[in-house]
Formats: sequence, structure tokens, C-alpha cells
Amino acid sequence: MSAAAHHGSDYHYAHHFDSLGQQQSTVRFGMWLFLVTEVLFFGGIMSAYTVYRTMYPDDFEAGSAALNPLAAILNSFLLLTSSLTITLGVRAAFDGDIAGLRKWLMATILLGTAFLGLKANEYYTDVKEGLVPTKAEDVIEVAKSVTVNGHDTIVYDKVRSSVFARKLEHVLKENEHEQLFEKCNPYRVQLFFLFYYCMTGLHVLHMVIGLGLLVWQYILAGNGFFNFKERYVYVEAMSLYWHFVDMVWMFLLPLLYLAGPHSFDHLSL
Amino acid sequence: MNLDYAPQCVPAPEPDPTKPRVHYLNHAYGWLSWLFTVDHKRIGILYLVTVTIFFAAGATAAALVRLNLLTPTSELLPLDAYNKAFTAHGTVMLFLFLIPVVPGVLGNFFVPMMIGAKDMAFPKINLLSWYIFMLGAAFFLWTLLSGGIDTGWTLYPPYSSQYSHTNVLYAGLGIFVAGFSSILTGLNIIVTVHKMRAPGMTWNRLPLFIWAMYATSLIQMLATPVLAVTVLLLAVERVFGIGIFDPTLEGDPILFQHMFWFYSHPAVYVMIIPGMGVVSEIITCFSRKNIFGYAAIAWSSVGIAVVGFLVWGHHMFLSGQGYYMGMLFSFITMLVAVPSAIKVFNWTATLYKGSITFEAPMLFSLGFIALFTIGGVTGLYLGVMGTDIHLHDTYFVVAHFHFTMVGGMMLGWQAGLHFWWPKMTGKMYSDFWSRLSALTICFGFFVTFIPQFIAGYNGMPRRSPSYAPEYQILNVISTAGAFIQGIGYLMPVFYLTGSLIYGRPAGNNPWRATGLEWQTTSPPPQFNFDETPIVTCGPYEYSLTSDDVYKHIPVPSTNGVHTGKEGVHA
Amino acid sequence: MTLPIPFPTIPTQASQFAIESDHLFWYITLLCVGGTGLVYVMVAYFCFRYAKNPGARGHVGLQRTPRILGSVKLEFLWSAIPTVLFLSCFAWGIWLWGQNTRIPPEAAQNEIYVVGKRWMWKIQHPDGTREINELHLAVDQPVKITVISEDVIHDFGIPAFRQKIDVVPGRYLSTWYKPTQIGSYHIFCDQYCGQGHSQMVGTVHVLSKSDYEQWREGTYRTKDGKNPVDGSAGWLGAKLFKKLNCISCHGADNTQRAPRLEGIFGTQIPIGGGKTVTVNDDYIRESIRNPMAKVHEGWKPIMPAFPVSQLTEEELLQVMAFVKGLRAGETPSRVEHTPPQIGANPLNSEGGSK
Repeated sequence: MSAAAHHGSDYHYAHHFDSLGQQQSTVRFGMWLFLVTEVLFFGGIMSAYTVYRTMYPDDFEAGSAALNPLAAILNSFLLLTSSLTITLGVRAAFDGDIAGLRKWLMATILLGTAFLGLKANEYYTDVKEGLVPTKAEDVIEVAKSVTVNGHDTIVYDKVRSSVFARKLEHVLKENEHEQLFEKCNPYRVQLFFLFYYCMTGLHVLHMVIGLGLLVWQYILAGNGFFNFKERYVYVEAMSLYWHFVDMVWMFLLPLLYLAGPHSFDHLSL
Repeated sequence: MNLDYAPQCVPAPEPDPTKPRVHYLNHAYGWLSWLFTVDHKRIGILYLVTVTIFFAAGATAAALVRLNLLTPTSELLPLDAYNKAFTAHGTVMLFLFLIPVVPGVLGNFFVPMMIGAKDMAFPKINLLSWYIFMLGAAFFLWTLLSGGIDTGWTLYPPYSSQYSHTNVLYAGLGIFVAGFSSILTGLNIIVTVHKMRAPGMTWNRLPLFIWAMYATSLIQMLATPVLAVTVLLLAVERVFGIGIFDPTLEGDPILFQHMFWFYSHPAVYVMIIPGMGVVSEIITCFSRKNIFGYAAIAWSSVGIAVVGFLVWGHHMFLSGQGYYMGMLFSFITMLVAVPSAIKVFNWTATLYKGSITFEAPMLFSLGFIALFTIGGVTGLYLGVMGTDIHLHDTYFVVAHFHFTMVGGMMLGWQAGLHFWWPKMTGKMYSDFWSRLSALTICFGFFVTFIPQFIAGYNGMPRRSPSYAPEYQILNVISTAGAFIQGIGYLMPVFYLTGSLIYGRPAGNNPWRATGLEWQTTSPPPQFNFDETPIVTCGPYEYSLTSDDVYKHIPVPSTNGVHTGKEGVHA
Repeated sequence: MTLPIPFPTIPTQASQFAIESDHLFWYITLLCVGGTGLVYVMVAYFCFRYAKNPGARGHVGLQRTPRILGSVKLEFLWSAIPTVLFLSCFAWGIWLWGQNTRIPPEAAQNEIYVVGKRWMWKIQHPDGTREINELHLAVDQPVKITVISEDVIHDFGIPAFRQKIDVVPGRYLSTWYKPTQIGSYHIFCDQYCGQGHSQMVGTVHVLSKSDYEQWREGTYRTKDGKNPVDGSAGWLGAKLFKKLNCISCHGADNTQRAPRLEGIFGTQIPIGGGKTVTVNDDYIRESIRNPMAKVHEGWKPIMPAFPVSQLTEEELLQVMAFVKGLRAGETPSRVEHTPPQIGANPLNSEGGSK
């Protein structure tokens, strides 16, 4: 049932379509709809985050202050640049420039991988610093002064203390934000970190899937799949997905990293 | 050609019965040709087989529940076994039967055919979504085999996250995975309706079943991702013991309810709108009249889908969400009831001055109207804040949602299956047994669920294996009714299967219906139509003759059918 | 004629609210029966009137049906009429809900705490009397009910009162009853809470005024002489106040580390940053469970938190009753003159009055 398309090439569209234009617009429309569901997916978790952010503003501020904003800012540059490279890739595919397509796909893959590398380093640091939600509690002794017969005496109380709270206190002190620690409840800061790991984790998962697809398209480009330039629409659909992942990051950056203060003289990776 | 109704396109000639014919069922044989098919019709049949099995599983759990409730002291099952049984009934019936049944089987099979397409927009994704569905079902099976789950299908924390000792995680995984199947099916249907319509199939000529499937898909696509995230957070809380929803760890259990019902309330419309679509097709066909108020029915489907997103809070009037929030949700709930009422009145008006016959699909559809009307009006008691205080979480709620979801969707599904069975298989089933089945199910249904309204008004709480002795008489009647229903559901298994072997050939169009799917041969050829159909009129021209349409309306030229974008693909 | 077995029809109307709730219930029923009846009668009539002779089925060239496509007038009519009727139910419904939510002052004086715990109801009267799975009320005496859960979500429902309220962990929710009919009625848990959900049931006994007084007398605690306060929530709370060492900072002989609590309930206190907070049930609860949340300005945040493992919801209510009733000059002082050893129970030195 397939018919020859108008460009004079011998490209055939799938059996169940009546025309090339129909197939291309279907692919595009399908991807847009898929992204709508993705918006709802991330929207759900961001709404939950927002609810708690509103309920516990001080605690979320403290959690955010313990994160590393430099990594996030560098990552934003990497991702935004990758959005540019993939758009150039779409242009190359549309023009039938296979070498250009491969070049830009590879650039996008490299930028995406660099993002993941930075992100992995950030996770590593967070875990090393102990910023991982946990139920674990220790019993520690806390000194306090008691007045006995008119004299001040120091006594020691055994107090159960959250492991996470002590790690958080340490990190905030290093970042010179210990005043935030005094205002916060560590259990609520744990909630912040839980959302931090869930939201960035889901984003990383989307990145990994995206990178897999990019590598696949890179290989396909090498095998001559995109020699039919009508197939540029698949690169375009891929780029829509990539832009979306990019957009999600642009929401995560302020939600997670810019929610609290940062001392910029302590920035490091 | 001189027909006393006007089909949407020129019907194909009846094939010569003496000659062998290649169609979608026999163009390839063997397991692999089914498991790797990308044909929407075969995928529809895959769904048909699997959801029937899941229905049997859910019905077995229901039978256990009803048997246990014969006595007030839970003599048949231990308490936790009962809790697992009702949870199994709820989760299996909702996630593995009611949600996929009509979109999966009838939607897959007939959406492309009714709009004159050769297949779904994304045939491979269509198959993928069946496999994802099966993977989700495998998780449910794993849950059941490894001891079941006892949280109820609503999975309210902190019970589900911190207290239950059952396999909440596997079940959550099942819901998560099955949800993605639902998303992909919905997405596929929406793209298909937008992009794959045959020449002449304008939006105003779409059959109402397509409108209903479109509205359903919208909900599936937009609501299910939120459920996925909610279940994910629940799983994180359960695995790591961190309080997202647990108040002792600073979480908020009510937030879970908000997020859960943001999905699950629209999802109950996924379980009813397709049934409404089916009934709209059948009522008009069997009373031989144009549907009354085409636009009203079409837009009320979309209206329910959209407004249905704004009413989730009416599940939570008593959970402490606040007076004004409850008021808002109650108000919108009243508004979402109106489109359902509009539909019922339009179906009734369609019967007026018709030429009505009462084959099985019509009996099921009339049963749908009878039961759904009761299900709809009893929702009023629960959406009104004052009376919900008393009726919330009692058997009144149970009876209400069974009237809509079983009385509605189950009868809608049976109606659709009986209506389209001759097209799907090319065979006609027993007239007598099918009518008997319709009457048995309706009768059994009333006997089962009317007593539950009374029990609920008298305060009997839902999800209770044991109960106060004064409710016993009502429960005994209800159990009796459930088994009458059971017999009704068993009958089609036999006479429909039997019809595959003994049934007489149905012919292309046994109901003399106008839709595109009836204008091709039965069973349909591999690509649905031997020639791309050209649509010349609206979907329900039962009061015109084919001469009226084809003599007075110029038939568009077949030239340029393949050029695509010339005004026909909106 | 009476049936040999009980057949429930209309549950007893045992409270003021039950009567009001049933008025709305029957109004909606009237609408539903009317609407459903209309549809049923029309469908049945059309099916009867316009049925075709079945023998003619399948034939071509039969009588024509009129081509009716719809009617804007009718569509408008059957959209508008249901909308108006539904909205009348809605308006009545929110009025009724308001009756349920706005707790009258005479009920608020009589506050009964209900703690849900898998799988029992623990009930505490204002005079300190405690019951499990039973609730005794005096007829015509409005009471306020405040509920909280110790574990999962429950729901405290009394069908005869047409009342129900979710029992949520971590927050207090309140409603009120005015029982009007003497008798014994079911208490159910209406929110699924696990294995014993269906057995989390109880009975509410509505007694006449004189019976109620007798019931109260019969359960008075008479330890330590006939002190009518003994056994009350405040009395138990005072003991906890010492046992948990609250007294070492909030006590009469200490003014450096923590504020005195005398007469603090119901007042506004500053919490820093120019903000104030009203000392109410929720604030006291928060300050015990999670003291760092809102610290009284001028005091250091040094108070340890008391999670459920150290102080159950029920005990928390007792401490709260103590704090609420604490008037000027009533703050107890430490008996000991040496600091207790770590882990020592100050109550031990009181000569076993426990």
C-alpha cells in the first residue's frame, strides 16, 4: 500500500499511512503528547515538593543550603548547550548532511555524558557527607548546666540523636550556614533530601534513556538510515524529548538548589 | 444498492461463501504470529483473552468475599485472608479488568476501523503496551502468589507504607507498570483519531464511541503519570522507612490522598465513559434512528473528562481537608453529574418513535441505562457534603460504585462484545442464550446491590469481614444475587466460545448498522478495508435510505485519496 | 406483621444531627426516585410503544423512522433542571455540614478525646474518666469530640447519630454530638485500618441525666482519699510532667532555661522574627513532639523532642490537660534537693503514690 514520496527518493512510509506528510505529523504529534504525560509525571512530584516547601520553608532552605550550587550551574550550561547542538543536528538531518548529523549527535552525547559525570560526582559528595535520609539514631551525651543548691553544675544527659541531623549540622557549618540548622527540624530536611534524590534521580533516568536513544540514532546515522532525509522527523522527535529533559532541569535548578542561601566563597566541586 | 439505512461509506460486497477468504485471523498461523503481531485487531484479541482471565480471577475473589459475608462472624476466612480477598478483588478488577477492558479490546479493535484507518498510528507501541500490561499483571500475580496484599486498592498510608506486612511493593510495582500501558494505549488512540481518519471522516462525523474513547484516552494520558509518581513515593517511603506520608516523621498522609484521588477519580471515568460510548452506538442502531443530540453526547463525554479532573476532593470530605475546600469540590461534583444526566436523557429520547428490536446488545444497553441511572443518582448522596458524613465508607458507597462501574461498565462491555462479536469473529452466537444472559445479569445485579444500599444507610462499614448481626439478612440476599450474576457471566463464556465452532456465519453487517466497521467483510481483512473508505455522511443515518444519501450528496472523487493533507486529515 | 429475622430499614435517629441529616437524605431520595422513575417509565413506554414486530427483523425496506436529530430546547431543559436540583442538594448539604462543623460553646465545654489505635477506641472524658470501646453520654447534653490516631488512619463513626469523622495521625479533628434518644448504638471504624478493622467496634450508650450521674459516680477513682481530681487527665498529666523531667526546666524552682507554663494556654506568645503564635492544642502538641519548630522568643532551643515511643498520644493529651489547667502559682516544684541520676524516675521518691 505504500506509495512513493514526492521528493523523488525511493523512501517508503509505513503500510498504514496514506502519505509521508501524514506519517511525519503523526510522529511529531505522538511525541508532543508523550511529553504532555511527562509534564504530568514531573508535575506530580513537583507539586508534592511544593506542598512541603510551603509547609516547611525553613527546613527546605536549610536542605538547599547544604547542596552544591556550582555543580548545578555548570550542569545547566552543559544541558542548555546540548539543546543547541541537537537542534543543529535536526537541521543537518533535514538537509541530508549525514556527517553534520553525526557530529552534532556526538556533541550532544558528550555534553549529556558530562552532565551525568558531574551529577555522579555530586551524588558521591552528598553521600560521603552523609546527606542521605535515614532512620538511624545514636545515643549521645549532651552537657547541660543545672543549678544545685545555688551552684551551677554541669551534668550529662543521654539524648537520642538523629545521625542525619549531625551530618547536616556539620555540612551547614562548613558552608557557614549554621544559623539555618538551629531553625530546622532534621526530619523535615530529610524530606527535602528525599525529594532531591527522587526528582534528580528521575531526571537522570530520563537523561540515561535519552542518551541511549541518541547513541542509537548515532549508530543508525552511520548505517545510512538517515540517508533518506525524510527520516529527519525521528531526529526532530528525539530533540523534542531532549529539550523537555532540559526544561525539567531548568525547573529543578531553582526548586532544589536556589531555595536556600549559598556562600559563594565556598564553592567547589 | 438500495438499503433502508445510509451507511457512512459504500459497503463492500458479501464475499462468496464457497470460496476461501484471507482475513486477519487466518493470514498467518502459530503462536508467534500472535505474540509478535502489530495488527491492532489481533492485539485487541490478545487483550480480550487476557482481561477475561483477569475478570475470572477478580470474580473468584468476589465470590470468596460474598461467601464469607454470609455469616456475621467471618467463619469462612480468617480476618486477614478476607482483607486480602477484597483487596485482590479491587485491584485486579480495577487495574487489570475495568481500565483496560474497553480501551484494550474494543478500542484497539474498532477505533481504527470506525475511522477508516488501516491500523493504529503506532502499531509497535500498541503491541508494546500489551506487553507492559502483561508485565504489570505478572507483578500482580507475583503479589497474589506470594501471599497477597491487604491494604485495599486505595493504598492509604501510613497503613500501606509502615504497617502492612504484605507485598505492597510488588502490587505498587504492578500498578506503576500497568499504568504505563494505560498511558501508551491512550496516547495511541488520541494520535490515531487526530491523524488517521479516512477521507470525509470529519470530527462531526465521528461515531460517539470514538468521542468516548477520545475522552477516556485524555484521562488515561493525563492522570496516570500522577499515579505513577504517587506510587513511587509510597514505595520509597516503604522501602527506606522515611516519612513522606507518615506523620510521625513529619509527612502528611492527606497529601497522598490528594495525589491518589487526582488520578483515581478521573480513572473511575475511564471505567464508565467507554461504556457510554458503546451504548450510544447500540441504542441508535437497534431503534433504527439517528442518535438524539449527537453534539450533546459527544461534548458531554469530553466535559466529564475535563471536569472530572477537578472533583477528586469529594473522596476526602471527612479527612480534614477543610470546610471551604470541601465546599468547592462538592460544588464541582454537582456540575460533573449534569453531563451524565444529559446522556441518559438523550438515549431515552433516541428511542422515541424508533423501530426497536431487542437483541442481546440492546438488552445489555437498556440494562446499562437502568443500572447506570441508579448508580449516577446515588452519587448525589455522596457528593453532597451533609449526607456524605453518614454514608462515607459504608456499603452505600460500595453499592454506588458497583452500580456505575459494574452496572455501567460491565454491561457496557457485554453490550459492546455482543454487538461487535459477529464482526470480530464472523460468527453469530445463540440468540436465546445471549438474551437470557443479559436478563440474568441485570436481575442478579439488582438483587446483589440494592440490599447494600440499605445496609449502607444503616451504617454497615465497608471492608469488614465481620459485621453486626442485624445486617445478616441483607448480606445473605446480596450473596444470593452475586451468584445469580455469576451464572449470567458464565453463560457468554460457553455460547460465545461455542459460536466460534457452531455459529452461523454472521455476514458483513448483521445489525444493518451504518458505521464504517460494518461496511467491510467479517472477519475484516488484514488491513481492515480492501479500499480506503470515503465517508459521505454522519454516523447514524438510520432514517435515510442509501439512495437518499448517494443520489443527493455528490460522492467525492477517489482521486487524490493518497495525497494526505488535503482537508481530510485535520 | 413482624419478620422472624430483623430486617434493617431506617436506623434510629439518636441525635439532633441525625434528624437533620435524614431530612436531606429523604429530599435527595425523592429527587432520585423521581428522576430515575421518569427515565424508567419513558424507556419502558418507548420500548413497548415503538417495538417492531420481531418477525420482520432483518428485512429490507421497512417502515421509516422519522429523522430526529435533537432539540436545543430539550437539551437546555434537561441540563438546566438537573443543575438547579443538584445545586439545591449542594446548598442544603453545605448548610448541614456547617451544622456539623460549627461546635457550639456548650459542647466545647465538654470535650471528649478519642484516640484511635489498632484496633480499639480509647476515650477520655473531661473529668478524666477513661473508657475503651465504650462511650457513655448524657441525653440532650452536647459534647465536643476531638479525635487523633496513634498509628494509621481510622474513622470514628456512629450511624445512629449519622456522624463520622476521620481519625488521622498527627492532627486533631473535632466534631460534636447532641444525643437525643436514650439507648445503645454502634460505634464503627469506617476507614480500613488492617487486620482487626472490622472488630474495631464499640458501643455508645446514651443515658438519662440521672443514670449518667450514677455511671460517673461508679467509676470515680478513690485512691489517695476522695480527691475528685485524682485519676483525671490533668492529674495524670501532672505525674507525667514530673516523670518525664519536664519539671527540671519548666518547674517552679527554675527560671533560667524554660518559660513557666502558668496561664499560658490561649495566650499569644512571640516566637521571634516579629511573629507570634497562639498557644492552643496543636501548638502544645507540636512543642512536645517537635520543640524546635516554634520556640518562645528569649529562650534557647534546648528542649528534647518526645516522640510517640516516649509519650503516647493518650499521655500527650494528659500532659496537655495539665498545662491547660495550670493557674498562677500552681506549678509544682521538685521534691528532691539533689539532681536525680540519669535515668532515675522522680516518681520513685514520692512513696509509691502511683
